[in-house]
Amino acid sequence: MGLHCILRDYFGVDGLPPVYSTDQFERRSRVPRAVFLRIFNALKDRPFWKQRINATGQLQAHPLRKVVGAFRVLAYGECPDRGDEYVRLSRTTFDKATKLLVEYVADELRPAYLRPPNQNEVERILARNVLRGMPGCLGSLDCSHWEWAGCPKGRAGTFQDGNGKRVIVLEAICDEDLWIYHVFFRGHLGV
Amino acid sequence: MTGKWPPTNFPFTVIGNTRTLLYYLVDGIYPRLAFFVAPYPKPSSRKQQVFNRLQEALRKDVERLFAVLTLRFHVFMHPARHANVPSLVLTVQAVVVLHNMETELRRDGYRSSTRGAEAAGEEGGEVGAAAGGVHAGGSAATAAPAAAAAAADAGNGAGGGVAQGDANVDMGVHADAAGGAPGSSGGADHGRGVGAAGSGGGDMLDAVPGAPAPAAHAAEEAPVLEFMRVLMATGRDKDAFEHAALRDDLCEHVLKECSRLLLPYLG
Repeated sequence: MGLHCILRDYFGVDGLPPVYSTDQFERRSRVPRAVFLRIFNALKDRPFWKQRINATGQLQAHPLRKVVGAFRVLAYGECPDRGDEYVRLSRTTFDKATKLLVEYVADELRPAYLRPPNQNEVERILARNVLRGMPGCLGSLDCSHWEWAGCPKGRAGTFQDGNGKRVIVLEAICDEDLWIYHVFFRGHLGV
Repeated sequence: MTGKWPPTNFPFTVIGNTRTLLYYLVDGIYPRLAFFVAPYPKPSSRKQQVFNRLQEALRKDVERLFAVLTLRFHVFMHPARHANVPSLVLTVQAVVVLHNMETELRRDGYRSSTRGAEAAGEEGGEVGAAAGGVHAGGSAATAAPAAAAAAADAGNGAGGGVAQGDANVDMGVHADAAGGAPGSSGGADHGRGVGAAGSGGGDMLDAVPGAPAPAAHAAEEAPVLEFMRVLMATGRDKDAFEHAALRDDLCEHVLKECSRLLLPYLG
């Protein structure tokens, strides 16, 4: 059911064209289709993701459902139960899929996509910033707060900000294209 | 502050002073470290105001970044429900990686990728029309769009070569980036380096015949103990005097061509 919905809406099934266009797919999954398919193809044969047959002989969820569900959690900020209406997965499957997707992306794609600039890139950044009037500038650094509702009580003081909320501070360095070179965390008080 | 970052083999010159420590743009809440450039807290003169204006215009990249990230991945919009810090970190890293994957696909079409070439075109127009006055005169303002259009048409205008050169490097095409070595004033050194990266693909400046030898930092590269290196780097980075001096130099530098530099961000 969930698989049929996804295929019908975004990929086309039974020879029919998909209901929604590629633009709409990208707007909803929040990543380009090429990125989505790359991650899906990398994940689909892994132990959790691939389709299993349970003890009663029934087919379990297709990997596409789990990947779409995990992307919905990241893209919409949904709680793990919310996407059940569309992809028909249980809360625990959602939760696990999100966790594994995050781990896969963060652990295996990070060496390629989140790293300090290499020599070529440093030169490119510097050349662009010379034109913009700041020779020697490597980029901009700033921080942003993300409220942390699940902060343990015992550590509330560590993560408290000026308004009494528990936040963690996310710092990032990016260049003109918003390519992020570095990202790190700290508590509100520690610099 | 271990001294391994930022790289020191990219010397740059501002108002005659050559430095090797590259810097980041930050806002006023950051400590006065030598590799940060913050705006003047209380700009008291026109040139400080001009510098602040440009610094904020460039720093808005990262200010935009958090808005873009939040709007793209709404997981940042709600309070995090994670139970521990490592899972929070993983989530952010995953989102950032996804964001970078999209940026990699789309960056050639971004406005920012063409703005540099347009600004360079405006520079050419200004030199011809208004000879680089401090105030953006009416003639420069009117000549600038025409010059930008001309640069876009020709495709290999004087300063446009920089943008094209790094576009080639970006795509991994070993094309004739060296042919586009720019004649623009400030970008000559870096432009040549970009061209070299495109054609040689090797180890940048050292491999290029005719490129200026990076002599300014050669003396500091002697092997030292790890601890001493960290100590020296810490001292170098915490130099508040250097922080102020760099900002003052940049302020002078920006003032000289403020009309060209600020033009993309005004109006």
